[in-house]
Amino acid sequence: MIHRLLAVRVASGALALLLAAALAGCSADANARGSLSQSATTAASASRAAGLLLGQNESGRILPTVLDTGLSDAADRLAAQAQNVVTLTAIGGIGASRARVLSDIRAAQDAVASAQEASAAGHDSGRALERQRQELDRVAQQLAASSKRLEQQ
Amino acid sequence: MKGIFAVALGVLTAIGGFVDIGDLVTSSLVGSRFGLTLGWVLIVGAVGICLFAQMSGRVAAVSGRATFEIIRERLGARMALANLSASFLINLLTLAAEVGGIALSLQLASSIEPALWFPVAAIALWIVIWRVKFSILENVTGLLGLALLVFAVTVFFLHPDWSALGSQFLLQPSPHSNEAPATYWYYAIGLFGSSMTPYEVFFYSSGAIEEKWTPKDLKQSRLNVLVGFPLGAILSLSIVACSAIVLLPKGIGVASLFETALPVAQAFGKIGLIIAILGFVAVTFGAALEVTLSSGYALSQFFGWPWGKFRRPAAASRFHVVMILSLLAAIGILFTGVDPVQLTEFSVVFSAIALPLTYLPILIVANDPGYMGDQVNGKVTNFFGLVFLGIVLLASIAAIPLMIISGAGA
Repeated sequence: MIHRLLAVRVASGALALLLAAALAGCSADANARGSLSQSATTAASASRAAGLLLGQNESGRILPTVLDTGLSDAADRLAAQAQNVVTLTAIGGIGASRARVLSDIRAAQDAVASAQEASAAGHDSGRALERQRQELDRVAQQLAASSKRLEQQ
Repeated sequence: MKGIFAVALGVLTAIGGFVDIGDLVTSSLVGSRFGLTLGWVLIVGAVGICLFAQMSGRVAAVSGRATFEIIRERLGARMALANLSASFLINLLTLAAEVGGIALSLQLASSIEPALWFPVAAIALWIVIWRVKFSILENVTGLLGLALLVFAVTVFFLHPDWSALGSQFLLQPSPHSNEAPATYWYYAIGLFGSSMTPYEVFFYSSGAIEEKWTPKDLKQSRLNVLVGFPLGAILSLSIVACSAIVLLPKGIGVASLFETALPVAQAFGKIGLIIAILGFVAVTFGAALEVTLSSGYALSQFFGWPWGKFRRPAAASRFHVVMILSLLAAIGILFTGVDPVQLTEFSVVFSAIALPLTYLPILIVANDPGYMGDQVNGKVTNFFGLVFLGIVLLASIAAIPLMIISGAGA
């Protein structure tokens, strides 16, 4: 009788532990996916802001000081998001998504860096800036799509 | 003619002085993420600040003493200390945010890193407080702050879809917005906190003493508050609308001051940007002056030290020392590397948490015939005062849980 009681207790304890572990695993999985999605959204927003800034610069609507500040800010935010994604633990099958998001953020970082260089170079930078704006818009779309996919999973 | 000029100046100053870094950041952020669906909060906040600013101004004009002095005398040291602690800490946080706001605005004009502007801004604030007359510092920054009217004009120049904006205002979410309810309510509290920041009532009541108001000035004070503040709230609403028109459809969530200015650049180009940046500098500088003075007022009035700009600095030395230390503490906070925009977001939410401790004592004092004589609150004012106290209490209780659930609005 005592053995049976003990066995039931052990079994129920083990079951509770398993359940807790599964729940913790699910929760960690959801957290990782949520963080990755959030990073993709923030990076998409920063890329679009930089793209809008470059678009307004093309039509002569932006002061050079605001362009400079905006691009530096976008670069900082993209760098912070890249760092977030790098340090994210790839659990629950988000490894591929993480690699895709990271590669898009790096592409956005390159585009912003090139825009900063072109802007610093001064005249004749119009075409280079236009190219970077298009690249930023493209990357922003990809990042937003990745974020949506991660939210829906 | 002189009277009309004084009224017009008071109203214009109240409009320009209504907006600060909290309003700038929170309004544009909210517009870029929720469209105009949180516009109602600005209206509620404007009614609340009109109600309590008018009340605290009346207390000062009738009793000849600032609200804080009376709170301690009427409610005892313990209650006054709770009020002081909450208000003073929020003031420090707000001051750091405003100095950060000046630095970010100057960065837009110069591309120089904000960290290099922090000490410059603090020294400039101290010099102005030390040397410039109260009425001049209040009027000049308030009038220059009117440059932000460029946002109101921008709304019309962007030729928006008015019916879409109208339906957002009637709580019909924009198709571009996809935010969780907890995030919506978190920002509702932030926007409410930014409209009813505690320093505004301390500055208003102490300013009444600085300018030697008497009951005769109540009519003009009422006009300044009841016309100027709602028009200031419309200015905030136009910042929300600008972001809702330009940034929300593009999926740009505001995280920086330059993004707040992008809709103006879209409509008016470089000239518009210059006017907007001038407005940013003026309102953040004006608000930083008000918060610095409020820190000095709060502590000096609690301890019964001589205070006020109507006294020579040597005659109110502790009042000036408190302000200098507050500025140093604000710079210290900024030099920890905290992002001024994030600091602003937190400061408005923490403001909301501290609101009951600020507004309950004002309501009690404004009902005391011993101080107010026949100028005690009427039934209508008390009814609205109690309704707002309920709202403020609700916002205060809900702020922290919503901050946790929404991941601080992430």
